[in-house]
Amino acid sequence: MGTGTRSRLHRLAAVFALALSLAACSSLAASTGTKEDQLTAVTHSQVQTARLAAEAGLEDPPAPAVTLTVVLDDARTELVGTQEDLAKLPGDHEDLAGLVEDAIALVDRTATAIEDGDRPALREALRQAEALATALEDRSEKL
Amino acid sequence: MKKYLALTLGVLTAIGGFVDIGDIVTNAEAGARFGLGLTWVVVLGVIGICAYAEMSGRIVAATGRPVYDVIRERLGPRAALFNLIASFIVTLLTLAAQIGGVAVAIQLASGIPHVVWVAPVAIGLWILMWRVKFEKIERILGLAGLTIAVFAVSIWWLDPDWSALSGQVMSITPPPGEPVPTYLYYAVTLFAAAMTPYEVFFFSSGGVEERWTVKQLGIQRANVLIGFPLGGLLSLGIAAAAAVAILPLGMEVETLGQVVLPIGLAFGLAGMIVVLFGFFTVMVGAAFETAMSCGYMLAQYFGWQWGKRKQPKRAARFHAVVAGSVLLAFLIVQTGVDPVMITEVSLIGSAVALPLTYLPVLIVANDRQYLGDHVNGRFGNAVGLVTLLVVLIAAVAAIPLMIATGMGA
Repeated sequence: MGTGTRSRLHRLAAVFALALSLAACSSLAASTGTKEDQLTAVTHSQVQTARLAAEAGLEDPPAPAVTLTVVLDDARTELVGTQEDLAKLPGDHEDLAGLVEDAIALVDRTATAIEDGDRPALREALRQAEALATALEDRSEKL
Repeated sequence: MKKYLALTLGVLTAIGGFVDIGDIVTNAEAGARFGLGLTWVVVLGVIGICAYAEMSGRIVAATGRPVYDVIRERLGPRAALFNLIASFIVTLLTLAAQIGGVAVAIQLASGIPHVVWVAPVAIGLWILMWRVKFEKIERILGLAGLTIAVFAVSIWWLDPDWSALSGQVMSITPPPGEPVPTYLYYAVTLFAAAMTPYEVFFFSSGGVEERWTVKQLGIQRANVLIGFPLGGLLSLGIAAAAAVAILPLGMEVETLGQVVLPIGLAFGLAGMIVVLFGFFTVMVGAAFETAMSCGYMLAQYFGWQWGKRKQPKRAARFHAVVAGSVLLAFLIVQTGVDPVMITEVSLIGSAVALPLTYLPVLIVANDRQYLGDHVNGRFGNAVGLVTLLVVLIAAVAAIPLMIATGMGA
C-alpha cells in the first residue's frame, strides 16, 4: 500500500469517526431527555418491576420469596436514589416527588406481601402498580 | 462412538464458552428495549466467532502451538504487546464481572448481599481450578449451563404475539421513538459480547492442552459450527423472554434479578431454581475460562511454561498469574461496584480491543509457513474480512456511542 493511499485511508477513518461522534452527540438530547424525564422513566421502570414481582408471587407455586425480595430491594434502592436526585433538582417537582414516594410505598407493600405469602395483598399491590404506572406514563406524555 | 462422544463434549464446551454474563446482560437489556430487533447482530457475532474460532483451532492443530504464541513470533513482540495489554485488561474486567455475577446469582437464591459472597466465590474458583481436571470442568459446567434454555422454553408459556416477535426478528432498524445512537450502542455491546477476545485465547490454548492435531480438524470444526450457534440461540432465548414479558411494560433491565422475572412469571418456583442454577454454572464456567485466559496470555507472551495439566512447581509463573488475576478481580468486585456496570464497561473495552485480537489471527491463518496446506480458503477469508470490517466499525464507534448515550440510557 502506497503512502498516499495510506494517508487517504487515515483521513477517511478520521472523517468517519468524527461524523459518527457528531451524529451521536447531536442525538444526545433525543437519547436521554431532560433530567426530570429520566427520573420519571426510572420510577416507571421500578414500578413495573414491582408489578412483575407481584405477578411472579401470584404464580402457583409462587416464585421464591427470597429472590423476589432481592429484586424489590434493588428497586427500592433505585427509587431512593431517584428521590435524592429529585430533591437536588432546581424548580418545583412536587408532583413527581409524590409519585416517587408512592412507588417506594408500593415496593415496600409488595415485598411484605411476598414475604407473608399474602395473595389478596399481592393482588392489591398489582392493581396499584398498574395504576401508578399509568399515572407515570401520562406524566411522561405531558412533559 | 468415541468420535461422537468427542463431538458432543466439544459442542458442550463451545456452548459454555459462548454464553457468559456479558451475553446474559446485553441480551436481556436489548430484548427489554428493542425486542428481537437486534437479532441480526447476534447472528453476525455468531458467524464472526465461528470463523475466528475455526481459524484458531486450525492454527493450533497445524502448528501444535497456541495462537498467541504464533502471533508473537509472526508479528514481533512489540505488535503483540499491544494485543497483550488490551486483551489482558479486558479479560481481567470480564473475570471480575463473572465473579460478581456468580455472587449476585447466589444473592438471588439466598437473600444475603452479593458482597458477602465475593470472597467465597473467588476462593471456590481457585480451588476448582487447582483441584479439578480441565475437561471435567468444561464438560460438567457446559452441560449444566444448558439449563438456561429455560428462557427459550418460557416463551411458549408466556403466550407471545408470534407475528410481532417475527416482525422484530426481520427488522434491522430501531423501533419508532428509539434514538439511533442508543440502538447502535446496544448493537455494539451485543456484538462485543458474542466476540469477547478471551474466547479465542481460551479456545486455542485449550486445544493445545487437549493436544489437537490436523486429524481432529473435522470434529473441531463441527464443535465450533454447532456449539457457538447453539450458544447464540440460548442468548437469543434470553432476549426473547425479555421481549415478551418486559418490553410491553416499558421497563428497563438494570439488574440480574430483573432478568429472571420472566422465568418467575412462566414457571414460578421451579423455573427460578433452574434459571439461578443455570446462571451460576454459566458464570462459574466463564470465570474459569477468563482466569485461565489471563494466565495463557502472559505465559505465552513471555515464553513461560504454561498449562493446567502442568504441576504448579513446573509452571509456577503461569499458575501465579491465574491466581493473581482471580485475586485482582476479587478486589475489583469487593469494592461494591455493580457487576452489571463492570460487565458493560468490559464489553465496551472488548469492542475497542477486538481488532487487536482478530487481525493477527487472520494474518497467521493465511501464512503458509505456519499452516502449510491448511491456510484459509477464499470463503474463510471472505467471512474473516467482512467480520473484521464490522469489528473495526464497532471498535471506532464504541466509545463515542457510550459517551453520547450515557451507556445506553
